[in-house]
Order: sequence, then C-alpha cells, then structure tokens
Amino acid sequence: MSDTPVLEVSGLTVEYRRGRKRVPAVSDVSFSIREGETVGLVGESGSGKTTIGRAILGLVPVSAGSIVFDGHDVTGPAHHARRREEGQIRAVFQDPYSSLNPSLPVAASLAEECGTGGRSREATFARMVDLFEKVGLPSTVVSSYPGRLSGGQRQRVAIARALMSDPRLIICDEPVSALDVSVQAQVLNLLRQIQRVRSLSYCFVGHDLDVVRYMSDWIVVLYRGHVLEDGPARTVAQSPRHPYTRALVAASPHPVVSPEDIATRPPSSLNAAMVTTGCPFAPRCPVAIDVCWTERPPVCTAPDGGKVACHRYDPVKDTTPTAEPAAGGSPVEVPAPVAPRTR
Amino acid sequence: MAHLILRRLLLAIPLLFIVSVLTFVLTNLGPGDPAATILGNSATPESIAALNHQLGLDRSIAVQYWNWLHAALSGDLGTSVVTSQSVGQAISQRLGATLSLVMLSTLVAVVIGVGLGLVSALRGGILGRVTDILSIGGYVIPNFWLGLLLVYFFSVSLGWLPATGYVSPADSIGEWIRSMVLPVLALSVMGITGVAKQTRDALREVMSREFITALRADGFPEWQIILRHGLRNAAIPIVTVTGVLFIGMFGGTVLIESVFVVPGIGGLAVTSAQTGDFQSLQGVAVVFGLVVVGANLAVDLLYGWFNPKVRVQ
Amino acid sequence: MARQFLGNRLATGALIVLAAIVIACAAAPVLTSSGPTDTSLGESLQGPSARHLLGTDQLGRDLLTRVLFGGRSTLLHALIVSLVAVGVAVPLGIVAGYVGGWADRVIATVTDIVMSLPAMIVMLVVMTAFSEHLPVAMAALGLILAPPIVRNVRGAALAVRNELFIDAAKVAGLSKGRIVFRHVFPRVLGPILVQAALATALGLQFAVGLSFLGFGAQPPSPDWGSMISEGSQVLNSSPWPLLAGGIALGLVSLTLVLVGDGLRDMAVESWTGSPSRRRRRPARPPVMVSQAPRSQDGPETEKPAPDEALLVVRGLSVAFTTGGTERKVVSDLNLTIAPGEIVGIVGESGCGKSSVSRAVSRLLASGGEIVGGSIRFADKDVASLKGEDLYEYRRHSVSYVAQDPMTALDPSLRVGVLLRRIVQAGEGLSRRAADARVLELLAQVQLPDPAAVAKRYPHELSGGMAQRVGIARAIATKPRLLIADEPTTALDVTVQAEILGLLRSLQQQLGMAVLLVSHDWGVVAQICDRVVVMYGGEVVERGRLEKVAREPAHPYTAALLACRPSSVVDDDLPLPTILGSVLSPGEWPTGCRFAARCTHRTESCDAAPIPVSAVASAHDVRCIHPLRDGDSTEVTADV
Repeated sequence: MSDTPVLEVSGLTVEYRRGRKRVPAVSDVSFSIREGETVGLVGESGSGKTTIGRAILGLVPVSAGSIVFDGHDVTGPAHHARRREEGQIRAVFQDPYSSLNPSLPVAASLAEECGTGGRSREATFARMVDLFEKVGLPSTVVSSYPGRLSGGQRQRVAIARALMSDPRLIICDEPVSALDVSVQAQVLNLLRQIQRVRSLSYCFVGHDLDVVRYMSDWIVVLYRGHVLEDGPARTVAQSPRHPYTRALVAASPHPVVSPEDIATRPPSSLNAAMVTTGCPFAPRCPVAIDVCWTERPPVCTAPDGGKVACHRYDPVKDTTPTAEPAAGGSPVEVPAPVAPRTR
Repeated sequence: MAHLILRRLLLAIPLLFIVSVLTFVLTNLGPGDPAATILGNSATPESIAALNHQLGLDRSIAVQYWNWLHAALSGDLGTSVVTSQSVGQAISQRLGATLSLVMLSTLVAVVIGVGLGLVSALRGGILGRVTDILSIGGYVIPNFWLGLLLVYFFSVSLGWLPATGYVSPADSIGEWIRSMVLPVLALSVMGITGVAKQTRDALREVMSREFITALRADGFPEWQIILRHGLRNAAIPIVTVTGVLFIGMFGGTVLIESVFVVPGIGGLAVTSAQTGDFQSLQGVAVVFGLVVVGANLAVDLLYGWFNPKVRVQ
Repeated sequence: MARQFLGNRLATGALIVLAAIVIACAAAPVLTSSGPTDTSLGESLQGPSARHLLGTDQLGRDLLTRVLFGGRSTLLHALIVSLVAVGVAVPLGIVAGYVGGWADRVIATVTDIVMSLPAMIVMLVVMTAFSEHLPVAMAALGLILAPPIVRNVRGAALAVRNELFIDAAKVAGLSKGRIVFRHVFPRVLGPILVQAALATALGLQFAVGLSFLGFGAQPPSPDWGSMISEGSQVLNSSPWPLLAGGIALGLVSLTLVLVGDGLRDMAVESWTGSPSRRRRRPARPPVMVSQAPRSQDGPETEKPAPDEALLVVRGLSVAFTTGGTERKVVSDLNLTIAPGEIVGIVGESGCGKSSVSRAVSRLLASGGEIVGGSIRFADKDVASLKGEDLYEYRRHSVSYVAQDPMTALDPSLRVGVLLRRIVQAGEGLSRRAADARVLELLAQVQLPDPAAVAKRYPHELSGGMAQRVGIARAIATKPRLLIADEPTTALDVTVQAEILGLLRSLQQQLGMAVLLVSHDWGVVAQICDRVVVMYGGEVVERGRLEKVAREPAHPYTAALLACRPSSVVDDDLPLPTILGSVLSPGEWPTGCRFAARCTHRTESCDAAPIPVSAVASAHDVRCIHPLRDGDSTEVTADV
C-alpha cells in the first residue's frame, strides 16, 4: 500500500431534480481511497451510497465538491472521458441480471472494454480467456449468452469485464446482495484475491455491515446522504461511535442468538421525518437532545483518525483502543433514556 | 389532479388553434374556387372577382382567418357559401344524430367489451382465442365495409332493418332504435374488440399481482376479488382505450354516416369536402376538436377517480 | 412453446401471403389478360366463374384484374403512410426516450397535440387541398399516425436507458452514438417493426376509406376504395363488386396484423431480460431425476404428537407445470407445528421453502399443485378444501404476510378501507365497530397515529409502515397460524429488527403459531423456536434453533452458517465457501441432493436416497455422514 490516494472525494454533493425542487441525495461527503485499499460505504436505502459510486463513475452530475482521481480533477462532465480510459475506474454492479446485455454473447459485452484500446481481436480474446480462468469460469462461457448463466457466474463475468482494461479502482455496488448466500462467499473471496494480486483499490458499497466490514479497511457510514461516522472497519463495526451505527450493529441479524436477546425496541424508524437543520438522524436517535434538532453536529476526529458527526460525542472520553473492540463503556455518554421528540 | 386538468385545458388552446388554422390554410390552398362553384357555368372572370370581393375572399388568408376567429369566438361559425345556410345552425341540426350514434356505439362497446374481456380473462381457453380472433377481425375489417355487408344481409337479403336513413327519437323511439341498429353495430365492432382485448390483458396483469394473492390469503371469495379489486385496478387502461375509441368512432362517423345516409356532422364534413363548402368543413373541424378536448378531459377525470396517485399529485 | 411456434408459423404464412399479394399487384400487367378498364357490357355484374375468378362489375370489367391494378395505388399509398410515420417517429422516439430532458418534454407535447387532432377530419381537409397529389396527402397521413409510434419507441428506449448494461457501456467509455446503435436500437427494433406493420394496416384503411368517399383514384381507373364505393351502388343486384375490394383490403390488413403479432412474439422472446423471467434459471434438461419411491422421512421425532399439533404436513410434494412438463419443487416433506410455536424454514433460492408456505396457505401460484401427501390443520384436510370452506380456512385459520409489503396492498384503496373489509368479512362487525377494530389493530402493530395511517393510500407509506399494516391485516381475524414469507427481505436492517421484534411480541400476546420462511439464518435465529433447513426441495435438517445453529449436523447447514462474513473471526482469512451453485428444481440426483457440493461426499452418498435420522432428540438430519453423531450428543429436553 502506498500513501498516495488513488481517489479523493471531498465535499461531494449530488442533487436530484424533482420538478422544480432540488432534492439532495448526497451532502458534503468526503473520503479517500489509497492504492490497494478498500473503502466501504454502508447505509440503508436512501442513504446515497449508490449515488456516490455513480458520481465517481461519472454517471450522475455532481452539484458541488470535487472528485480527484490519480491527482487529476475529474469532477466535471468534461473529464468523464478520462476516468473511462483504460486503466482507470470500472464497476461491478448489483444486479448481474441487468448488467449484461441479454442479446449479446458475453464476449461481445467484454470486448466493449477494448473498443478504443487498439488491441487486436486475438489479443482481446486471449485476455478474456485468461481473465475467465482467473475468475473461475470455464472459457466456454465467453461464447454463451447471459441468459444461460447463473447469478454467481454472471457476477464473475461482470468482474472479468471490469478487469479487462486493468483499472486501478473498481466501484463494487452491492456486488453480492442479489446472490444466494452460499455463492456470496465465493464472489467476496474472488474480489479479495484479485485485489491482493493486482493491488487494486475498491470502493465497496453495501447495506450489510458484516459484508462491508469483511471487505473494507475503512468504512464510511451514511444516513440520508450525510456521513455520520467513518473510521477503521473494525472499529466502526465493533465499537461504533455514532448512535446510528450502533443501531445498525444491533440490528444486524446474527445466526447464533438466543431469542431472549431480542427486546422489543421502540419503532424508531417510523419517526423518520426529514430534518432540514440539525442532525439528520435526530428524529430516530435514542440520545438526541435539543441541539441535535437545531444545529448540524460538528465533525470530531477520534484518536484513530475516524470521524464522528454527533453532538453527543466527546473525543476526550473516547477510550476505543485502535482496532480493538471496546470493552464495556461507549464513547458517547448515555444519559437516562430521552424519549425521541416528535415534531 | 387540478394540475392535470389545467394542463389538459392549456393544451386545448393550441390544439383548437392548430385545427382551425390547419383547416383554414389547407382549404384555401385547395383547387376549388367557391365563387366559381356558386356561379356555375354562367360565371365570367368579372363576376367571380366581384363575388370574391363580396365574400371577402380577395383579402389575405391572415386577415380572413382573423375575421373568422373573431366571429367564431363569439359563437358565429359563418355562413356556407355553397348552401347559404348558417354553419352553426347546420351543425346543431345534425349533432343529435351523430351524438346518438357515437354514444350508443361507445355504450355498446364498453358493456359488451368489458363483459367479453372479463370472461375471457378468467376462463381463458377457447373464449380467449375467440376474443383474440375477434380483436384481429375488428382491426382488419374496415367499419364502412362491414356496414355495407350488414346492409346487404339485414336489409337487402333479409329485409329486417332499414338500409339507410335516420329517425329522431323525438319522432319515434322504436324507429330511432331500428334506424340505429346497423350503424351502431358497424361502428362499435372495433370498439368492442378493442375494449375486450384491453380488459382481458389488463385484468390478467392485475390478477397476477401480489396484492391479489394477499386478498386471497385474507379469505375473500374469488368473485369479490375480481369485481371489487381486479376490475378497479384494471380500469385505467380500459378507460384509456375507451377514450381513444370514442374519438376514433367520432372520426368513423365520417364514413358510417355516408354509408347509412345518417344526417350527422360526419356526413356534413364529407359533403362539404366534396362540394368545396369550406365554411362548413371548418366548422365541423372545430366541433371535432372540441369533442376531442372534452373526451380527453373526461378520461383524465376518470384516471383521478381510479388512481389515487394521480389524485394526490 | 408449441403456441409460440404455431404463432410464428402463422406469421410466416401471413408474410408469404402478403408477399404474394404485393408481387401479384406489382406484376398485374403481366398476370392479367385484359386491362382494368376494359368494359364488356354483355357480362355485367356476373358472379365468380372460370373466366372471371371474382366476377365482374356493372360495366362487365373483370374484378380480379381491377383488384390487382387497384392494389398498385392502394398499397403504394399505404406504404408511403407507413414509411413517413416510422421514419419520423423512430428518431423522435429514441431521442425522447434515451436522451430525455427538455427534448422529451417538447416531443411529448407535440405528440399529445397531434394525437388529439381528429384524424379523419384533418384528412378530409388535406384531401381538399391535395386531391391532385395523393402521395403528398398520404405523407400527411403518415405524420398524423406517427405519435403512437413515437410513444411506443420512447417507452422501449426509456426502459433500456435504465438497464445497468447501459451504465456499464458508459463506464467502458463507449460514445453515445455507439451505445444507441449497439444497445438501444436493437432493443427498440422489435417494437418498431411491429408498429410499422400496424401503421401500414392503419394507413391502408384510411387510404381505402378516403377513396371510398371519392378522394382517391378517379374513374375509370380502379383502387380498392373506389371499387367498394362502386360495389355499394349495385348492392341490390350483386354483392361481388363490394366483396372483391373488401376482401383484398381485409386480407392484406390481416396478414399485416399477423406479421406484426409474430414480430412482437419474436421481440419478446429475444429479450429474456424482461423482469418476469429474469430470476428464472436457465431450463436445462433434468439430470438423473429420481424415479424410485423415496424412503420415509425418517423417524418422527418431532414433538408434540400429531394429535396435539396445529399443523401436520406429511409427505408433501408440490409440482409446477409449465408448457406441459411437470417440475417438482418440493418432495416428501414432513412438518409439524404446535399451537403457539414459532417455526422457521431456511433455505436458498429454489429450495422449495416458499412453495411449502404457499401450499399450507393454499396460495400456490397458477400452475402449482399439491401432487402428494397431506396437510392437516387442526381437524381439516387442507389440501382438499374448496369454495366457501377454503375461504373460511384462509379467513380464520391461517394468515399470510407477504415479502413485499407495498405490492401486497391494493394500490387504489385507503389502508383503513382494506382493513375494514377484512375485519367485516372475518367477524361480521358493523361498519362502525369494524372501523374501531381497524384503529385498534393499527395501534397494536405500534403505528403512531393509527387514524392518520388508516386514511393513507399504500404509496404514501414507508416500507416499514406498510409491513406493519401487512401484519395488522394478518392478525385482524385472530388466526391460529401466521405464515410470514420473507417478511423483512425488502426492508432495511434497522426496520427488519423492529418488525421481527413486533412479530415476536404479537405472537406472545395472541398465542398464535408462526411459520417464518427466510433465506437468512440471521432472521430466523432472531425469533424462532425450531428451525427446518431445506435444500433441493426436501428437509435436510431440523431441530431446536439453538441446537441446529450451534451444532449443525448436516454439512450444508454447517457451511451455510460458516460462510457468512458475520461468522468470521479473522477478516484476513478467506471466507469458507460452498462449491458450485444451488440446484434448480428438477435437477435432483437420486442420492444426496447436496452431494455435488459437499466436502464429505462418499460413493454411498450417490447410491440411494438418503433417509432422515435422528442425531439427538428433536434434532434430525438427512445425511449418512452427519457432522455430529447421534449417540454422542447430549439429550435435550423435549420440545
């Protein structure tokens, strides 16, 4: 791993137009990815995680902020071409059933990656067969149509496709959430193995905190387009600092629990009113205080480099040892339960 | 909803404008010369020019159109040069026949079409195939030709029904119905098959949706699910196709009224076009435009009735 | 399949007939002995004969000759209409659909206006201006008929625009033009061809209709419209002149419509990417389908004894019939649920878990059938229920919570109205009492402000609220068994936890039994007492949750539990994996269905069907090399 970031996203804001209104999907998001590193974006539906990936790929216009790839600003549409050159940014999408054109044989879809590369037909084909071997597919698959492949096979094809042009960064947008559980592990292992061999960087987008933790070095937790917390993967997943991340961790279903662990929690997700000022998570937050409703929380930096956007976070009391699960105390002081305010 | 209606009404203005300008310009482009037509064989160039001046036909098209528009907005559609009759009067005399023809045809098309579609969606099999074949037939057989065939069978061969003519319901309800049977049949066949096919397709789609399964799980009887939930959710495409068919049938009167010699505005349009009676043609075109606007508005209102999403937005 | 083929054969036949008619008309001067205007007054209004195949008209002219010559101008006119309509509509449709934005809005407004023009009247007006230049008039007709095609092409292009493979092509750096040419155009080609066929048919009818009114070929030269018009004059004497023109017109229209239908089927078939088919695995020929009767589903160690049980399923087999072939999705399945018990079924796609839940609630999708075994609920034989008995069973005995809470609600009804109908049907309450009960139910599922929720339409609810409404609906008639099929799969994790907690607390309050179906071990583990693991349409393991989850006996169960990232202790090691991919229904081998993916496989695994055996009390496994030995496991208390 080198310390120069391959990708630097700062202050990224993406707005969608809905009629005359502009609805923010992503607000002021910053993170960077170094070579050979994986940054995980985790959040629930509406968190903007997929939009960030699409903005990096140049598939949605950026309203504010900048995306610097390999030292070059590629934010504007004028720079789309650059990131699409060989050796730059590629993607593996969520739905392997829609990411391959069903009317083209697999080889034709893959050959698109070399449309302008000037490689000969034979060289392209040889590369395809080579990559198919690497992703664990029989070379006969090149001539078949996507309709004949299983979900896991299609996702392997999609990975081979992304590798065709030797990119430095791959955006993995929920690459395993459409797959059977028993196939997910195969694909996750494959992605990691390829990363190790090629010192690739990944931006790994997911909703399952366990999967994202397993894949990532650094995790960014998103809620309604805002970064609530980021930090080393293990810290975020095992001793989270933000109340939302803690809710995520608590909700993550583990196969070995005794039913007694499940207390009936208050249905906080139903208080999910939009907040224009203040913390976006305030309506659902069990520890929200008045200031959470009125002021945007400051971004505090924790000792391990992680950042938390929470009024209730006190860096002085943060005793989270780096990359060690916190024993007992939580860095956010938990007062007597405060009923979530309804407005 | 209000937004939708407003949009529809705003669209109506350019629509009516385009219809009237289009007819005005095109009729003036035509080879016919009304003055020459009126004066017949006795016309001299001088008398034609004099008559043209008298009718205001020697002025520029823009001026003529402006004058027409000005009068039309106050309800005066002008006077026919050919028949010397007021266009507004000519149309109002004939509107009744056309409206009864189209309304009855739409009613027949919706009632029979929905029934046929309902049965074929639920029973499938042979009835489904029959609906398929009928719907192709309705598309393939032109209504005026079907009308002529009906005349041949029921009037010429069997002598059961009058071949032509129209009796106003004010004169005799029985004769009105007798005079309407064949034209309505000819005009509604395409509508019946169109509505039946749409009903069947839409109902099948709705009945395969998840909420129907959920209703079955609630223990509602099948017929209740179909009538209360299935048809209601299938209504939008049916309403759409009915609106399109209504407009299509209004246009179809142009041919059907000629075949059955029904004194309606469709027939008026044909004779006007044939005789170069541009003022009447212009008037009929505007009335047709208004009918289209009205039909679309009715369809939009029904959308709102059937689909809460439209109503809210 | 057979119908598809027949459909295509029909379309092929239609294409041949159409081509023959077109060629015959084009070659009319060569094919006919007399001219279209050659009169023979002695042969006026004759019926068909060897000399005049279609008979003659009033002037004794041969009708077949006139049909062929008339077809030349009529078909040419229809072709002009179609070419203009398609030529104008396709680029506009692609631009509107694929580019979108303001171009789409402008095109949409223009198409709206043109579609609202009264076509027949406009054509009459056009005819008065261009009666001398019929091709020009026909081109105008093409413009009037273009808007529906624009909409159609736009819709197809819009659908492709949202496909991920378009994004992939963009990311690969393909230019806009290449994407349109390579990905968008092939996708809209099908609809275009269909629309072209229909536009030609429509243009033909308009052209003939106008000519019938006198705006077409002028006598004596024929076209089909003027022939029908002449035929209508002599209807009292002979129907043949009317029939000749009309049949020619009908035949050409028919072939065009049939060709269009065939093209549509072809287009649909070549796009297996349609959502309804997307999830279906490729149909491969079944390999080694077991024909031998399978052994009994092992010792019945489940407690309580069947006579106290609420639901007893014995030897259940479910099959789906598609295109004449029957595919088993569940075979020989036993399941017992006691009153007030929460049982989970876990398995991956295609294992048959949903078919079990749907068979028990008698909600199998069309084509699905219970082909063997019995389902007893209390004292009812569920598999044979019909009519009012079936409705009664669904109303009061079992209820069903669906996977996608949104689509399970009638989109046109307010939530409160739907619930009121359910309550009224179930309990025969008055309207007012039913409304009160609805509010009570909505409060019971912890929805804040039940009265406001009752007034909402489904699209105004969030996923979590909708699923709460779904649960309220399921408990509305106080069922004894609630079946939840992947009730939280469509929801966010935090909402999922809330919904599972709600299900658990409602179960405790109401004392009903719950059958929870899920692909996610985590979900099942949150609330179930007992769990059944399915693979390849059969039970591979079952027992008390903590036994199965902590000490899985079947290699499949163990692997499934191990391969989740949440089970991993060291993130630096690769995840344990299971070889290959899940079985499709119908690919079942004779022996162990998991053998091909199993690391413990021996020859005896493939030899014969594997029986179910007990590894402990209330813990059964279908494996001859279980990971845990029956004798060594501690004896647990009876379930």
